[in-house]
Amino acid sequence: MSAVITTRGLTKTFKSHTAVDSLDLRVPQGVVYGFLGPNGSGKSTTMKMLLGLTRPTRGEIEVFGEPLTPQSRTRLLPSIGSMIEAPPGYGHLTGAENMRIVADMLDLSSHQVDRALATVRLTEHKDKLVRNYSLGMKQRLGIAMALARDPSLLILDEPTNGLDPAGIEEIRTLLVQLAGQGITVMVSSHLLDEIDKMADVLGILSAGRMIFQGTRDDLFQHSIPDLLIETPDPAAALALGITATPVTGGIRISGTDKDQTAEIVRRLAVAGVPIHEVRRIQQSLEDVFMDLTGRGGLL
Amino acid sequence: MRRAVLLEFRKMRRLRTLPIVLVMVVAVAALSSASLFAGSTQTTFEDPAAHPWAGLLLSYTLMAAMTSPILAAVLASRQTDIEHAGTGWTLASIAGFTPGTLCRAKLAALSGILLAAVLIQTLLVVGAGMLAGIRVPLDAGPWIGYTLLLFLVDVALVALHIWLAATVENQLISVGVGMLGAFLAVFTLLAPGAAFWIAPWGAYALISHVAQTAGEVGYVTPPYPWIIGLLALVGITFTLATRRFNRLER
Ligand SMILES: Nc1ncnc2c1ncn2[C@@H]1O[C@H](COP(=O)(O)OP(=O)(O)OP(=O)(O)O)[C@@H](O)[C@H]1O
Ligand SMILES: [Mg+2]
Repeated sequence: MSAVITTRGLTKTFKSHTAVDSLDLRVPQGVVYGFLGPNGSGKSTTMKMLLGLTRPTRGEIEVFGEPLTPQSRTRLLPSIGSMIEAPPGYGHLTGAENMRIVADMLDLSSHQVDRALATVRLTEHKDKLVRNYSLGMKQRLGIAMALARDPSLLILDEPTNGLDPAGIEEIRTLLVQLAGQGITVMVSSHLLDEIDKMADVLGILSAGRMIFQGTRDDLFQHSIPDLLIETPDPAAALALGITATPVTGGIRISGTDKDQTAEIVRRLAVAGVPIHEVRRIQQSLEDVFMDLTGRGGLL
Repeated sequence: MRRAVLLEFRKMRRLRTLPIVLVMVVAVAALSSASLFAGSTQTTFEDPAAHPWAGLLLSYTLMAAMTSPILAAVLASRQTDIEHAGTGWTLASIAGFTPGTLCRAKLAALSGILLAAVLIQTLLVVGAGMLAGIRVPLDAGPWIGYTLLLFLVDVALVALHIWLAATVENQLISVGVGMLGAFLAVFTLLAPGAAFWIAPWGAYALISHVAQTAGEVGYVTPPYPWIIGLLALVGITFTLATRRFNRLER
């Protein structure tokens, strides 16, 4: 799979504070790339650099295989739809008038505008003043502005901010659908839960550093789920000197690989401790995420 | 650039720019010609030596100095504030329009409106003079010269206010500066020696084509080199400032 966005050593320093630190990003074509990180980890700053809104302190950016320069940026911008931080929109104008401004800036047809408004289901509210829009409607308008140009790359910074669960689900479906049409979607969030269900590839940022980049499965492999051994006699098991936490109906052991698991089971069997069941605890991605960002990373 | 200017006119919709300008124009014209209808003034209408047109131009100059700085501040601030409020800087930037381009387009669009406004304003004042019964022929030269310079000074002030409104997000500052400017402009008209030192608002006094000496109103030649110098300085400042905006990170 060819990459739509590649960065090498991308760094942004504000005065003495490094907001983005040596980022090697790789966003493959036609996927939903979930860009995750807690507040202040540098997601928006990275996206701004990718769009040429902020100059990197160091490092290189390639978009569609071209180095990002002021010249290439002008050429590339019409094929990149984006929304960074707050959704844009002139409050004193209606949604339709705002879209008209975007259309005039980029030479878009009214057909493209209408389709974008319909996609985010804003058609019936297009003649209301944006000032009177709900937060969710503003967010939709921002997405419509990004979509109207029929982009090959979408960069959306927390697009589900302020949406209700139904709205979030709708955006999710939309982004997956767009990726299905071959559009590359890079979407950021500080909530794994929001992105988990749609992202094919995840990039996790913590304090400006990339602590994980890969598929969901890769992420699980990096973090070993706890082992749960069900036994009616946890005391006997603990008496063997196994480091474990007693839980109802058994013991729980963390950080054991396959060989260690085999060894523990063997010792328990030899000591005659009855074993009813041995299994891994299903770990939520949220746990993995918290674990990663809390611990400062794997890579 | 042409496209950027057209976009500014689109954004101007519902911003009440035109009604504000219209009210200002009519108010200035009305206040300038109010004295025409006083009995003492009317006795001069047929006496060329009393310079009735110069008297009218003087009161027009005073009213314009009093209101133009505020109008410039209000127009520039309204047209620029929308970019802060609607993250318009970013929206334009990701479509290839830099913040500097946006500011220049705003200046161009507002200048178009100001040109029409100043012309209408002058025509209204002259019309009022004729209507009131001034029989002495109109001295076209000073009136045309003043109208043209008033327009140019207005443009310069709008340029400075666009820069201010784009730099300082709090628009109270912008409008406050405009009010202070109006006060200073009137002050320099009354104390002409100070005009150079209170740039840019002193310009409203510099461009005056009339002066009152020992109770007599008469035409004077404004100090063109100073005026041209001041306008050029504002032009250069605005060009450099908008170029800097393009490199600024928001
Ligand atoms: N213009 C700026 N000047 C100084 N520091 C900045 C600037 N922009 C961002 N920062 C700092 O860079 C860091 C990263 O900010 P950024 O907005 O990229 O985080 P984020 O991951 O988008 O967070 P959030 O989830 O809250 O949106 C923060 O510590 C922030 O204070
Ligand atoms: Mg952010």
